[in-house]
Amino acid sequence: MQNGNDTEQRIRGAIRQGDDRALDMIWDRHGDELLAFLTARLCSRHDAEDVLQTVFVRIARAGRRLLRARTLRAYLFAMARNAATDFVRRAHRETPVDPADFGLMAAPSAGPDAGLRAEELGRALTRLPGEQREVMVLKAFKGMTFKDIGEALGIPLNTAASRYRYGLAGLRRLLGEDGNDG
Amino acid sequence: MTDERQEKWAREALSGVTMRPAEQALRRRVLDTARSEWDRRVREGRQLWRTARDMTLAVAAVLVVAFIVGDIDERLTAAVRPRPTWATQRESRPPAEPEWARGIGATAQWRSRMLAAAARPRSGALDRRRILLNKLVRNGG
Repeated sequence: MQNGNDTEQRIRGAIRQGDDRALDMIWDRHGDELLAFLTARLCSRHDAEDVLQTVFVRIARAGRRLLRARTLRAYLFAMARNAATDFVRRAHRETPVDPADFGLMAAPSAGPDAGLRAEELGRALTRLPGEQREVMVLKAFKGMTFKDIGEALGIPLNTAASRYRYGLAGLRRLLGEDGNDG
Repeated sequence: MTDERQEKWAREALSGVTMRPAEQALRRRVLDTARSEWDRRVREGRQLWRTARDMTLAVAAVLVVAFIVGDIDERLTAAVRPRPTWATQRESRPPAEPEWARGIGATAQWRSRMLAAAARPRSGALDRRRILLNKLVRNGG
């Protein structure tokens, strides 16, 4: 957490000095989680990459206006959310259902069936409600805490936790693993 | 299903599955575009600042010239204006408090009334007496 604060201070310092290395720092600190969030929101890795580019162009345009943000992460996620909304509105379509494009893959050390499971998970994730999917992806694949997720998405910690819980239950149902142990 | 069991299930279900991280090519593409936008904004900002500075300097220069020209004009006008005569100088002065009004311990209201009367054009007995006195002086006796 302390490290996160230090990084944010360094990013703010670079922005204040008009140093374009602030962009690299923002990418290193938040690029991956923004991409994950956009992928979860749009259900398309390809679209998420395009929107991420738009987000960074907006960051570059904002310049010192970024310093007004109380929390940089929350501001960046709000920018990403707005850019995703603009994208969907402009594209005149609902989010695509293409699990192959969800960006999930088998970890290098995983077993032989991990690839299949990744595909299944991707398919199931796209069928979850958007707000549960976002929390699921940020928590399960980016390892963010509920506190960080709440801060990033502008929701209370408990809401983030309950969305995750509902998301897990939904995922389990969709994967047909309800079982009889409920 | 309890939270613990759900968590356990999640760990098993999600194990071995990961999300593809952002590739270097994407990083390069995104940051190059953002950097050129950053440079453009900085350039435009500098241009805007320069324009504002130039305009401020131009306005300041016009004001200074106008002040100098105005001052010179006033000095020239003052130089050619006729000097006020003794009579006009006297008229422009406020009426002095007469000695007699001070000496008799007049009330403030009465004194102000008397002073106002003294400031009015003189056509009363005092003037007539002064005219008579002048005539006597002129006629030598």
